[in-house]
Amino acid sequence: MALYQINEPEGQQGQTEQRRAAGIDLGTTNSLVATMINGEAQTLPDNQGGHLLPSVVRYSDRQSPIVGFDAKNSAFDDPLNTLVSVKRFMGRGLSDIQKVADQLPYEFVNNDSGVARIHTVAGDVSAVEVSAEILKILKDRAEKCLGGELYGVVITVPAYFDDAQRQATKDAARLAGINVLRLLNEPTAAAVSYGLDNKAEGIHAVYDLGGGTFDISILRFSKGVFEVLATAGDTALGGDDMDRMIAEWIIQEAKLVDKPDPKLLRRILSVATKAKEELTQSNSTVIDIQRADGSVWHGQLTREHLNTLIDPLIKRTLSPCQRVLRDAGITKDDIKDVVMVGGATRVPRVQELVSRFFECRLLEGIDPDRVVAIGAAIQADILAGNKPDNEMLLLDVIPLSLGIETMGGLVEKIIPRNTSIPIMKAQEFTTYKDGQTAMMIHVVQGERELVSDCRSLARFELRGIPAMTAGAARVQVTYQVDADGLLNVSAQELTSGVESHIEIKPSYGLTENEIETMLRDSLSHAEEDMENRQLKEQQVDATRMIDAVEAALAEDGTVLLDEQERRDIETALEEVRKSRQANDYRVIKQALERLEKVSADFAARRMNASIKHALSGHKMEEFSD
Amino acid sequence: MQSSFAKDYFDLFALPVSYNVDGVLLAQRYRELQHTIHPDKYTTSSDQDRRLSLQLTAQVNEAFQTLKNPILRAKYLLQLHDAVPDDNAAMNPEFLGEQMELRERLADIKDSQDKGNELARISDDLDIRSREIQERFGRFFDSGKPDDLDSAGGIFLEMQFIDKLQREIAEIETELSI
Repeated sequence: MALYQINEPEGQQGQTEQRRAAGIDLGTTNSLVATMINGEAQTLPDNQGGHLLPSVVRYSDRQSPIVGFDAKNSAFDDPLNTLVSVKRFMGRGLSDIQKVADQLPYEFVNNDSGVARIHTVAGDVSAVEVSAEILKILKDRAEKCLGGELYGVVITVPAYFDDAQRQATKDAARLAGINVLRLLNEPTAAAVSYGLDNKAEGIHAVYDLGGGTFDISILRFSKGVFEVLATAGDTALGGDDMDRMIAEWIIQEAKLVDKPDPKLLRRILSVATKAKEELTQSNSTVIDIQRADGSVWHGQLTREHLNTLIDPLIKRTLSPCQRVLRDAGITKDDIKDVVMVGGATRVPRVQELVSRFFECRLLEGIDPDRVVAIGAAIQADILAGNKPDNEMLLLDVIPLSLGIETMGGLVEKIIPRNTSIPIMKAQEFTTYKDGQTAMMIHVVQGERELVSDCRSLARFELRGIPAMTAGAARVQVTYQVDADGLLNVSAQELTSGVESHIEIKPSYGLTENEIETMLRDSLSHAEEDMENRQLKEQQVDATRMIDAVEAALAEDGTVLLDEQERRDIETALEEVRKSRQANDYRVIKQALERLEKVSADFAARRMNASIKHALSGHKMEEFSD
Repeated sequence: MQSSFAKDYFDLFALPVSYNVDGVLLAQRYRELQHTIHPDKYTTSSDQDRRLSLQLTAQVNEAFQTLKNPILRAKYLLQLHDAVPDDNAAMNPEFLGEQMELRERLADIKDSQDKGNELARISDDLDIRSREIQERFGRFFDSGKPDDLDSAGGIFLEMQFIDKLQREIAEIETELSI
């Protein structure tokens, strides 16, 4: 296979080896992995034939963590070490979790870092590490099915996830050894699954009520392009909350103690979940709960009463629905249909209230549990380059406004919510003291005017501003949100052209050092393995660059380069080819940097030419006007 | 624009520099450009190409959002001619009087028995005003005469006023409907 790849630069013949790609839906309650099988996206089962992997991890002091059904079943016996629904803690600090912590059977650890950690027999773990365990199982499942290492994966996230939550998801993937092709918004993924089936031009709503998160998105599908017009939601609202409402009702009715112990609480929650599921089919269900003293409470819950319990929750989803219509600049009449996603949309009352609100047809043809993973797999296949002729394109938005802290704790908005991504905004600052060489920028996300009412994302400390008199320096700060919805900040002093060094202190995220440490800890022969890992990464980068430059030279080398330029690039290219044989990642890195430098102009010229080409017909028209 | 990819936002979409933009054509060319440069088309490319695609797509998005929005588009055109008026520039007293009246009507809504309908009436009035002002801006800006450019600047300030009111109304409407 290796020879084949070398002889045939990618994309040239249109018959390159298919790259192994998968889509992962990392859910609050359940996770799934899907991949293309014989041209069709399918979710993959475990050995027992089940497709859902419960997002539950049990830690023990004797063996590596257990993930899935076995872990879920131990939640009753070992509630402190069995972690469920950790997606709710992604990118969140202890103070955020405190609100719900009383209802959770875990021991949260107080520490300096903003990241919440849970104490287990195997040590303190963060939601990122727990999620990495789940991802590893799914990665493994896909690799077994496809018969080899995955090239890349699309992981879905709630559209309303903020930057910290997205970053946490990406960190988890990195810990699991996954190459993330894209973080894809769950509603967008669902729309992809439906869009390809229906070829439905027009405006659609996607109502996604999962285990712990709620999203509402408005998309326009036109000529193969899915354009998200607006999105809104609540990242702490889902089917789990319905279970909790039912559990509270049981505790009250059965006259149980105010705060049941963790084991009993787990059991009540599990009974509540079952009751909710049964009531999607029948009008009433029987509930049995054994009290701590051994006596048993028999109760009955009707669908009607369930509705009164959960109505406040469902109504909470309708106000984002209202807002999203306004943000998209449309009315209910413009919407063709509502795609229903997430297990909680099986609840009849949810369907009733949603169809009443939007006054239109609900789409439920694809299993609401699987629809997101299927969409992710379709997109992963395209992003891996397996469908060079595919015309489908997803254009997404940033869900929450990005701003910076200004004087008096106020927020100055830099990028408003529902702006199409990727996007870049630049801002200019100056120094207020003579010889000032550093500056701090506090970035927040949210819609409110006060910093204290928004979510703190990170503090960026710019260093290395050349010393000048106060007000003379012109520091340009660039905020860039990429296609994953992740923020990057860079800064440059304009009069000198000096690039600032930026140190990032995430408010609720892991620092680069912490991740490195976790990666080291996960490897048995840390130093050696890290070297190998870096070598492998550089080799992959080198191969990618060689392929890209070779293809570019073959395509445009004669037209866009003069002889000298071409020779320079070919020399640098040869250096990279040779460096790949060396067993030192530093050598490869150096060669790569050289090649990037000499080919930078060429790359820009090519991009320019492709734009001109895309609009060439139109430019011609204008000349004839 | 930071790069040499296009002279200005209009050039980027191969459209004539004018306030009157063909929305359908703009959206169509936006899609065509995205098909060529979007980061999803470069996931298997070199880091260099991926960076370029990211930067360029960010510019195309910014340009599209600017040209699509009637107020941002007006401001951008004035910027191109270095003719954006000062925020403190004197405004037409008649217009200000009319604004005061609208603001009073809006303030009275809180006590109104018929909030929804009264709000809808104000909103409809504003929509008509807003279209009229945009049309006037287009006429003055596109004439190309220096005096008219100044007038366009004044009209732009009025446009901003109306837009602010419209946004406040949308905010109240959302609150009322839930």
